[in-house]
Amino acid sequence: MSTGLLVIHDIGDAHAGSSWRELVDAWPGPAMAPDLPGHAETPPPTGGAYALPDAAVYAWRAAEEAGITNEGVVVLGQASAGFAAELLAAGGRASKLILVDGLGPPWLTIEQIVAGQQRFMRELFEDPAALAPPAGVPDARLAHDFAPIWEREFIGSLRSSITVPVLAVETPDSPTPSVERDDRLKEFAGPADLFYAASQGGPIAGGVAGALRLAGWLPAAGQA
Amino acid sequence: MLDLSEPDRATLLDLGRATIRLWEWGDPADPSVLMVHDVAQVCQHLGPPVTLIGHSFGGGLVLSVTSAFPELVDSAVNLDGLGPPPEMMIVQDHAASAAQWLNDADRIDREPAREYASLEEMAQKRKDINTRLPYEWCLHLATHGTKRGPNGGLTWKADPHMRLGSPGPFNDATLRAQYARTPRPVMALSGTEEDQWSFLQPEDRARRLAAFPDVEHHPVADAGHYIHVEQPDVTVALLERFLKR
Repeated sequence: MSTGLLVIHDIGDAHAGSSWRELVDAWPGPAMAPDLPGHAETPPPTGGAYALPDAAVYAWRAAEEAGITNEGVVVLGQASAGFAAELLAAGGRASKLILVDGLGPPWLTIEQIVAGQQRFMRELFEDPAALAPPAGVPDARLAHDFAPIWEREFIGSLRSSITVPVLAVETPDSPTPSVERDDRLKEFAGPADLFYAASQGGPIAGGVAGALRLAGWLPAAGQA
Repeated sequence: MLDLSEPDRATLLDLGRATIRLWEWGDPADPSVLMVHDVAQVCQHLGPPVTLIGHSFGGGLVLSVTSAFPELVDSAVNLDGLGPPPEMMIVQDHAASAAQWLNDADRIDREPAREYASLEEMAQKRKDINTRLPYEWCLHLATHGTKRGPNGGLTWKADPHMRLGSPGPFNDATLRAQYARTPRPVMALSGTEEDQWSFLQPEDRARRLAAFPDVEHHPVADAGHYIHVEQPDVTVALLERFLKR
């Protein structure tokens, strides 16, 4: 069996896993992009709360149930879900790691992290829809994103523990300062490359598939 | 005794029971944000500003609420809840830590909670951990902190996800940064005796206390982690003085 692909879609993406259908279809082995809880076909979690690392647990559970983790799996994380993909890679559950716009926003100081956590809690508290029991998908709580985690030392230490090959695919929507991208790639312990994909306003799966072909991580069209 | 006659009121809060978005067994989401919102909502219900008193994890929680929602809080009392020692929050091996976290999340989700045969067995287990806590208190905790499991035995009510935590930048510096953003008076009590879950060394405690804009600290003699259980009269006297200041 070929190596599988597990895509963790962006948190809050109303189209959820379906945004990645083109890449899933193009992947030569088993592939899936599960709808995370609170998105598309998957109801909000019991209790209706979210934390960034939870996406790793949910996505891995879906991949295990689908039986695509047995031969090693390539894990792709988009934007803030890139952190969940990095956790899986650091934890030894990925044979390769793909980060799409996942290198992170500008670094925050500890003081900015704490201020951001408090701002996050206050914004949730002031939104009745976010505090109320989940009424549908996407869950109103997801509109508030997450408490910030982008502290340089923490993320750098995590990345220095990731030894599998890493491919960063950046689009014009990336929050990462362009001058920092190369330095952030150097934080990974294993080989890491950077490719760019065009964003045409729709699902970016096609552009990412093109970047993966250029990088040799995906066979050329028609050769799958 | 502490005078709680009108217009003062005291409310004891069972965490995780007052929330609108209930956090239940089986949910791997980080509970801390929900708990902060639980307490904030109770403050709103009681009529702010409210004095918050918290022990251990609850002590950290009341500081989080005070820092994030100062308009709801008059003052905060922290009973041996200034966080773990700095060295316990340092991740030496992120790969091992991530693997452990993922494995623990799997295990908690898939394995049923351990069931015990009797309250006495659970009380003794607690006594083995909290050796300074009188057995009668351990039995009290077991009596009020357990429920029936699916196989008829007894399980702790506390959600096992409380032990899981959530990977992120949480360390001594983030705690001190949070404490620095606490614009309300804080009283912190700590026991002078070595005890389970009282691992913060005096120099680390002093550094954290120094971060608060307005704090008083009282070491309580002949007490360990459960200050209010071991020295209730001293605790109440300090509370009375703090509340009247």
